[in-house]
Amino acid sequence: MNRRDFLTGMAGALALTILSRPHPGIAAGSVHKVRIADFEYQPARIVIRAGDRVEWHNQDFVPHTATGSEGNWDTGNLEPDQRASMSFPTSGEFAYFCAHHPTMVAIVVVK
Amino acid sequence: MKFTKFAAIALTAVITTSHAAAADDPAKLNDLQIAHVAYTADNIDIRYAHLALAKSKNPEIHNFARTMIRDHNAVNEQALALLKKLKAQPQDNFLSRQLEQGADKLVAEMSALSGDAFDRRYAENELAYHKAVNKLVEYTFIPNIDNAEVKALFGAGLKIFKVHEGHAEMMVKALKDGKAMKHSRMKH
Repeated sequence: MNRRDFLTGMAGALALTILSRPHPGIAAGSVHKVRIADFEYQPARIVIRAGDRVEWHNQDFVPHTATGSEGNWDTGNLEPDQRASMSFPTSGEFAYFCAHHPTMVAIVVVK
Repeated sequence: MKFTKFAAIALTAVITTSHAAAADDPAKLNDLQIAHVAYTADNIDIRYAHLALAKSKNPEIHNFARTMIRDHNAVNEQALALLKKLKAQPQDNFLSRQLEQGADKLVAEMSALSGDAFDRRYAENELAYHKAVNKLVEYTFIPNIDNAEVKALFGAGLKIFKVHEGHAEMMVKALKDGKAMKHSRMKH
C-alpha cells in the first residue's frame, strides 16, 4: 500500500467513524420529537430506525442539553424554547443525560 | 459536628423552634412572606455558588455551581414576574432573616477552607440545604399557599430543587469515592 492509498483509507475510516455515531447533519429519515419539560425527557425512551432523527424541544425555563453518556455526541445548550436535532445513522442504544442536571437521563434505541 | 448535619439541623431548628412560638411559625406565613423566604433561599444558594466558583478548582463543583446560579436566578425571575403581575411585593419576615444569618455563618466558615476540604463541605452543604428547603417547601409552604399561581410556581420550583438535590447527592458521592461523577465527561 502506497502512502496515497494509506491516507485515502484512513480518511474513509475516519468518515465512517464520524458518520456512524449520532450527528447533527441532514438525514432522510423520520423525525421523532422529545419534549424536555418539568426536568424530564418525554418520552425517556424512544425507539427509532437507523437514519432517523431525534429533535429535542426545551420547554422548561432553564437551559438543558442532550449529551451522549459515552461523551461522543451532544446537542449543546438548549435555551428555553430552543430545539436541536441529531441523526442516528446506526443501530444501538444511545443513553444520554443533561450536562447541567445529570440526574435527567434518557435513551434513544435505534433498530 | 459535621457541616452537613450542621446545615440541616440549623434549618430544621429554624423551622421546629418556630413551630413552638406561634408568631414564628413557618406554617403561618402568608403568600408574600413565603415568596420572600423562597427568594432569600434562592439568593443564598447563588451566594454559595459564587463562593464555590471563586474557591474551588474542581470542574464538577464549577458545573454544579454554574447550574445553581442559572437555575435559581431563573426561578427568581419567574417569581418576580408573577409578583409584578399580581401587583404585590414580597414581605420580609423572621424566617428570611434567620436564613440570612445562618448563611452569613456558613459563608464565613466555608471561606476559611480550601482545596478538597472546601469542595466536600460545599457539596455536603448543598445536599443538606436542598433537602431541608425541599422539605419546607413541600410540606409546609405548598399546603399553606392560597394563591393558585403562586402555588403552581412553588410546585415547579420544587421539581427543579429536587433535581438539584439529586445532583448534589451525586457530587457528594463522587467526592467521597474520589471519582468523577458518572455523567461528567462533557463540558458546557
